[in-house]
Amino acid sequence: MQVNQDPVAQQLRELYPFKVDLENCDQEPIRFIQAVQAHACLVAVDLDTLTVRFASENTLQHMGRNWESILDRPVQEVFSFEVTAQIPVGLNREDGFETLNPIQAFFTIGAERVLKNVVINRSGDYLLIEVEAASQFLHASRYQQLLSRAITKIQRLREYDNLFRETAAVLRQVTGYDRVMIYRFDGEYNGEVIAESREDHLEPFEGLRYPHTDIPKQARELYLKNRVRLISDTTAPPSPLRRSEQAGDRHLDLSAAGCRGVSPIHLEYLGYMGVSNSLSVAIVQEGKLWGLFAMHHYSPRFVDVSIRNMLLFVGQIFSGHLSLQMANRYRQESLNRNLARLAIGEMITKTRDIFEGLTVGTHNILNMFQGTSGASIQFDGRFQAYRTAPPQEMVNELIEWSRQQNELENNLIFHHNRIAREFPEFDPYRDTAAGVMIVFLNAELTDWIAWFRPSIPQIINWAGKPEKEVIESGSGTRRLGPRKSFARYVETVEGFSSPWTKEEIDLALSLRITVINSLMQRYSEVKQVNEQLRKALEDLETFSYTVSHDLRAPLRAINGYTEILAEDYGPQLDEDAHQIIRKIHSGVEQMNNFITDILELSRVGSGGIRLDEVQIAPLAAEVVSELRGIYPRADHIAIEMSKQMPPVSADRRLLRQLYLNLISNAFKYMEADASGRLALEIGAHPPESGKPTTYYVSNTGPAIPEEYTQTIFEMFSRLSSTSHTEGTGVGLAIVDRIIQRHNGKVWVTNDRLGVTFNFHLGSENAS
Amino acid sequence: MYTNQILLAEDDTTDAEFFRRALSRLDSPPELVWCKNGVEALEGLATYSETASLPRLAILDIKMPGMSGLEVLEKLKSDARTKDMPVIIMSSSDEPQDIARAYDYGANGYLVKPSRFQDLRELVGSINYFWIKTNRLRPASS
Repeated sequence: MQVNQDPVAQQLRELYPFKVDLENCDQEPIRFIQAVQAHACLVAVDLDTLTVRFASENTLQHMGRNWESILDRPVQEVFSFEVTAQIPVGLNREDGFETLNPIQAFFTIGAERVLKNVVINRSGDYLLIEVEAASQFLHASRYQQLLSRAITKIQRLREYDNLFRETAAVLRQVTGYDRVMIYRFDGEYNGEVIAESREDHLEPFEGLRYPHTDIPKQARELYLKNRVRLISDTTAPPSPLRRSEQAGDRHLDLSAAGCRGVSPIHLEYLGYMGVSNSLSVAIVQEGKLWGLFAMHHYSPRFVDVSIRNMLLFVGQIFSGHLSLQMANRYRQESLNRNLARLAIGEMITKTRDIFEGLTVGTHNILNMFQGTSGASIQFDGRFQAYRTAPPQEMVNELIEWSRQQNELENNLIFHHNRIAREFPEFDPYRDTAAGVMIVFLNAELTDWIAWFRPSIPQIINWAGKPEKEVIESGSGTRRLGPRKSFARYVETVEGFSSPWTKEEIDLALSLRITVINSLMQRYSEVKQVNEQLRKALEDLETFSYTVSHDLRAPLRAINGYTEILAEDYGPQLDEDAHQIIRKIHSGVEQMNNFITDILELSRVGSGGIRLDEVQIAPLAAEVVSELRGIYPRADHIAIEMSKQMPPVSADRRLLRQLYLNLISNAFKYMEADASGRLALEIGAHPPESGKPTTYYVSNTGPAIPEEYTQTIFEMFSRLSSTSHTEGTGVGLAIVDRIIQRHNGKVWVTNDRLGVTFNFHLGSENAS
Repeated sequence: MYTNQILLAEDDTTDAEFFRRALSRLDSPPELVWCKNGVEALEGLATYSETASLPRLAILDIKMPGMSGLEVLEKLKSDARTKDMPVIIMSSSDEPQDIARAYDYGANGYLVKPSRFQDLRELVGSINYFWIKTNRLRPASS
């Protein structure tokens, strides 16, 4: 379709130095539009020569001289002394002409002398001098009154939410505009009308959203440079800028000029809205465009530069007040959050466990941020998920991915309120985890806490369907036209969580510090405990040594004297006394064995370990023959030893002790099988691929009940209470300790001959 | 002329008494010189005027107050006058490092104190047979 119905836009398009079409609309160079609005004329003076090089065609109406007659004339000939006297002043001031504008001067137009406002701005090598009407009725006192009324009202506002509506109302009262809107940008520069004040008969715009394309990037940049923008009459034809031949080919940059011509696209846009006049004041926060006072009028009107300056000032006051209120709110919220954070820190210190500390208290990671669906913690090799969190492997993949993102703030935090867009693998979890925030606890990025937020369906009331229209011109080129329809268009957006605010991100960072501090405290405690343990272990070794000497001495005394008693006074004692003497001996013997075993256990636990390749068969054979002497019934036992036992990497001394304990255990507790046979079998299972070889010692005897198969390896646990078996309950604990020191595993099964002890060694990384 | 004495350094009176009783049951038992600690043993040995009159054998306990048996052993073996006197360490410890150290210092034997009196008697018998009875031949031939 073609748009020829708007003559102003059409005219501008002809004057336009660039062809704007679909491909380059983002770069539409609006500051180079070589035309001015009808409400003012523009004269550009070359700073080198102070000679006029550019003039708009409408100089005759505004300053009484034809544009042809002033081109290439010295500035003193064109402007009166009131104006030219300010030029050196402004050029030498740091803030330029800002505080000098507007300069009031009389111009002879036709037969009349007319007071005009002259506004001077510097643009590179040129001075841009604009001449526009000065409202004579606007006296200084009236202007002051309006200003102070507006400012007082704004400053009195205490409530954040009222600020917007009240400000809009004050502005409309002061300016007389049909509609005044407070228009706020979101993170992507989509705009929303958050408050408005309007003539009753007008359709409400409050709550409507405007896509970021409505105010494109280059327009937003201009707002930062030139914060007040008046489009006085969308229907008045613009006045083209004429240039001297001395000016060269370069287009004049009109960013600084208030009367700069309007982009044809924007004119079309306003035209579709039915607006004849628009005045916008940029609200800037921390160097960023926060929003606009957007004012519409449905008939043309001119706004005096003094009022425009006043509005600029009101905008600054508003922005300051906004900062203050946001700071107050932030302070209150951060106070609450800090209390929560401190409570969590205390809980970590108290529980000495980050997982518990972060999750058990009244304040915890799940209620720290509003609307959290779940969380995961990875710390020190342990993973834990809380409430509704995506599966561990998915979270791990996300973490892996996020580590490689440059957006990590301070290299420690990552957040997104629509993670699936960047990391599509997360799409299936968007109901519960549309948003994610990850804070890394250590520099290696291996420990972290992640929070998840559910998708919140957002209903957006667009002012018209948010897409520009492709317009084909007669010559077949395409360009992007503005939206023609502003009918309420409701869009529901899914997959977004509520955003992670600056405060929340700050809180996550400070929580990180709290966690680290609490952990450091814990580590120093652990270090202290370790030191105590080390000392206790030393004491234990000394104790073991003492036991071997001092505890055995009284045993020897008891034994020795009893024997002497039996030998020397035997004839005088009766059989009962001899029985008692034998019982004393047996008790002493048992205690002696205890001491021997405990000493052996302490030796197994301490000292270095030396790995050698050990052949099992000869070692086991040696142990068996040694034990034969001690257990007389060994002669009646069928001993079968497999020849196929692969060598194992182990500490030879400890492995010998292991077999000694296992085989003597078998000798001690063995019982005949159904056929009355006593048997012992020593062997190994053929190794399976990738697994260590399992060795076993099996003997005939009753099965070990299921409930004892674990406890049997604990210290002082004895299953057998039959009188003829004697044991200390330490032997298998020693076996277990030896296996542990080889990073292996030992377990008991009721197979083969009856009872089988199996083990393998993780010999590669013995401790 | 060699004496027929055995020196025993032992702080435990019970162990000393068992040793004495075990010794006394031998046929023609050697004379027992009992020192209650290492220092006493060294002082006692210093009173012997000639090498030839030294005890036939010294038996030292390891753990004694003041000076350990191993220290006494080291002194005896580094003194030209006493270095040829046989010394046996007799301890309740069967720690490998104790045994190794004893032999390093030049002990002629290491015996773990038996827990049964019966065993001690047999052991004392063997010591007597080997170190007192058989050894008697050696100085005669030199």
